[in-house]
Amino acid sequence: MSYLVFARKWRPTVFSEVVGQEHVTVTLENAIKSDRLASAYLFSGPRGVGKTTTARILAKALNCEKGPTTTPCNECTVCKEITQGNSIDVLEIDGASNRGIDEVRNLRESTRYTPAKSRNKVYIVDEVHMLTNEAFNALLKTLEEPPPHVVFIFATTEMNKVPATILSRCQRFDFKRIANLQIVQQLKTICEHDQIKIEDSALHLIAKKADGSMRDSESLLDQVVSFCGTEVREADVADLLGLVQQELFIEIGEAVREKDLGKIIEIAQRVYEHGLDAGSLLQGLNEYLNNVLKLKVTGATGHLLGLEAFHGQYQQHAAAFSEIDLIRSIQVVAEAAAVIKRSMNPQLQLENTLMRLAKMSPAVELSKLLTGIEELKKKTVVTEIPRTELKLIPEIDPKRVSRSLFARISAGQIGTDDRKSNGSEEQLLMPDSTEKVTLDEIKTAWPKIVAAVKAKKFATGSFLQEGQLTRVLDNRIDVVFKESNGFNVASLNDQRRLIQDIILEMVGKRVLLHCISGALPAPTEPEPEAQAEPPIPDELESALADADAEEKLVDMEPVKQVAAVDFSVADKLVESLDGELIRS
Amino acid sequence: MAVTFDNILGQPHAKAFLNRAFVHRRISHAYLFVGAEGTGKAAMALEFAKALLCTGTEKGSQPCQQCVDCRHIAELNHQNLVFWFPHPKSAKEADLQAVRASMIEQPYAFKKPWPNATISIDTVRGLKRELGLKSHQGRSRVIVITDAHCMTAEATNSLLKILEEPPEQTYFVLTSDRSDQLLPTVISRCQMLRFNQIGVADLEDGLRVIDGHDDTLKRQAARLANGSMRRALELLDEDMLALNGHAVELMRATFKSPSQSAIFALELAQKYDKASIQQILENLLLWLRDALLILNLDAEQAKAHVTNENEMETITRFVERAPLFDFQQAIREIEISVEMINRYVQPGLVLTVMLNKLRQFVQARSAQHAA
Repeated sequence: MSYLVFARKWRPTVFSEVVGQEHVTVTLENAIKSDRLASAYLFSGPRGVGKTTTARILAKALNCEKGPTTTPCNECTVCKEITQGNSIDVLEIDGASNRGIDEVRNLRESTRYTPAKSRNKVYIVDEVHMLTNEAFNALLKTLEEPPPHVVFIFATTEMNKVPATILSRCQRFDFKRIANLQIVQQLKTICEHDQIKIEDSALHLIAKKADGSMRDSESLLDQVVSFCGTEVREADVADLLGLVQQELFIEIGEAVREKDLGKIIEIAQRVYEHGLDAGSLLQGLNEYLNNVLKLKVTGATGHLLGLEAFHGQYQQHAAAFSEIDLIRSIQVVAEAAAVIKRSMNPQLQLENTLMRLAKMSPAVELSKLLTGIEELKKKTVVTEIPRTELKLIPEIDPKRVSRSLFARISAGQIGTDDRKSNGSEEQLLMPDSTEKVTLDEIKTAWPKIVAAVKAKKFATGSFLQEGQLTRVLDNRIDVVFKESNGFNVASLNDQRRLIQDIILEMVGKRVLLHCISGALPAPTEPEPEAQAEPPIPDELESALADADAEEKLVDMEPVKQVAAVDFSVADKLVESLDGELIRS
Repeated sequence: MAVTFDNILGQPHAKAFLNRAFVHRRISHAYLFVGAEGTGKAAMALEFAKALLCTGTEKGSQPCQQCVDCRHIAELNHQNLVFWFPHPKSAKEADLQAVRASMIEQPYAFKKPWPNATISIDTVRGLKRELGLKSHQGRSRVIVITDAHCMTAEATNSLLKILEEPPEQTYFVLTSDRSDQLLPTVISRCQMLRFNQIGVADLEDGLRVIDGHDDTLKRQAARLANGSMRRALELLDEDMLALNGHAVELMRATFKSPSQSAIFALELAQKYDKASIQQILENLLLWLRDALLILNLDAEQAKAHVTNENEMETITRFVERAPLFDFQQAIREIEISVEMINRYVQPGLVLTVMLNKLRQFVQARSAQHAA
């Protein structure tokens, strides 16, 4: 007889042998004892946790010659026939192959006949989720009120595909994933019986890889034993399953800490040559990083199951990396693991990911960053007078306001108006605005500036081209765009620094670029840009502007209208509430 | 007693594993071979069948390759061998025959002319009927399902029962290069064997016996094939050096104006078919990998690992010109491009868009650097 794999050889034959599903087996046993059996059962759960097995045991328990019993004898002809799958009263149907309505009609026909030699007629329909809709519906009536001798047992891995009308007619049992320890226990029993020597850590590896499925773990054990014979070591298992050994992760961690890129490439090369799967390497690496993080956070080693030999190194690494760096690394690795599955060149991805880890500069913790900002704020507190407060201060610091402006204010030509703060505040943003720039100067240099911006950033340059240079005011350059170009304005403001640098280069003066989306007669909903900083100064300021600029103002008639409304208080509100202004 | 699978290139791991299964007489009834295209999965499946069915030598030892059974398996017409590959229902018998012929002639160059074909539930039902009968001469049966992920959901599900508990002396070998698309319930029923990219040296060995082409060309093909024998064979038939040259030109185009690079992209797309363009992009990836290595390692180390050894100077210059080039993003973009071409987006369009993105990476980063 040909070789029988463990999963088949060790298929449980009584309820007590079913591992890790006590909530199901105990319930079924009690039901049998108290003679309260339902006429339809639905077993659901992940692959390889014992659904079909339990179904068969239940069938035997019902039909055993010595039954109905909770412990089928497995010796009588009925039990034997069920085990061999040729009982005429227990029909095991492959729902995936016999999924049509015709098959179900035949099944319904056959339910009418009483069982040939046992008490019940049991229909085990495996992979029941594959039945067609029509087939399911054809079953409904029979399922609700079957003849007294009939028991249906459905088994499926995908309960979500089974219609609710079927679900409500069945007693449902959800099979759970099996705990690793229980799997290890079961594998140990198998190994002892077959006289296989195997290291505990190897069993742990298998259990982990099987992800709660008994069949998976038994297949893996089979695979391992067929490779190693009767003596199995952990290294063999890791090698065979393409699992990466802890040493390798420790080594990677080491190389990352030392920022040794040569070493990293060498490791990646080794991984490739040994035929380790890059995806599972990353998965393992993530687990390792996770373990280190947990160790760092909790300080306890309880979660490092089966890794007792590496506690020292784990602790070292936990000390070497900061929490935030570990979290970032986990992110990088997780991203890469997702990408690598579909990658054409996994080796390249692996190398790149590992190098990224090694090159990652240590993060500054957010809290430190915040304190830093706070301190900075304290130092520069004078420059941050809110507009409303400014209103209450009649005197303006002469150093902070440009000379001409100050001269005119002090000469009594203009009163202190809160809207002026707008201009002065922006000026404060440019501490080194010593020399004033004129419109002419900018105008002549403008084409060159645009070209230079284009060379650096093509898109920004072409956006800038659309704008109209309207005036220069206290080193602030106003560029007006058509209202429809709101997007351009937003992206230009993002790139403001770049353009200002270029202007500095070209004209030799530091300026503030101000891009405005010129709204035509008071729009119902202004551009967000316009709300954030009311772009257009009032007449007062324009009076201050150079003569050239005043001429230009004629062109910007529509813009002025928007500015005529005073938004300073509303602006302040919008700003502090991070909201949006909706005008009615 | 040992089965060494000498015909298979590389894969020491898989060979050792199957050999031990024979030695320990623990041959599972279902294997799943997974690994990239052209790594020898189907070829190995046939060798495995020969080892089970060979009558020229003692059972379970090295197949003789000469007996009737071995020859019939190699010709894919053994009575106890079932060999499936995805094909459309409407496929003509002549076309199917052509596919089989390609497999018989050179297992690594197994042609797959129908990229989106499936294996249907009817095929599986047919198999189940057949497996209900006794096997021919009462001997082992081997069912090879290539590209098992191409089975429809219905077909896969209806295979489950028989895959878990097949009749005696029935062995399944499933192969797949997209094991992530297989149902977990299938994987759980099989012993999974991973097939790795074939090493350059092994590929060179494999190419040595191919007629025609001079040795330098073969060496180059082995290096560029990314561990796939099938790719290496295809490369030999293509104008490989030109394709590799185009990869470099693509990179150069990212430094040119958008219109120039668009014209270049369209020219490429006109000149070459889908597969060649994909190869160009794959070469580009290898080229970027070299750049990455040169950027990060010192010269000696880099030299030991790079693919395009004779282009190190060009690559070094590139690294100098775009020191902050975003490799991560670039690699991603190129892979997306390959996938899009696979999905029948116009290659010219894909290349143009890709070049534009790459240009951004080159320029944005260098601008930042300058600042």
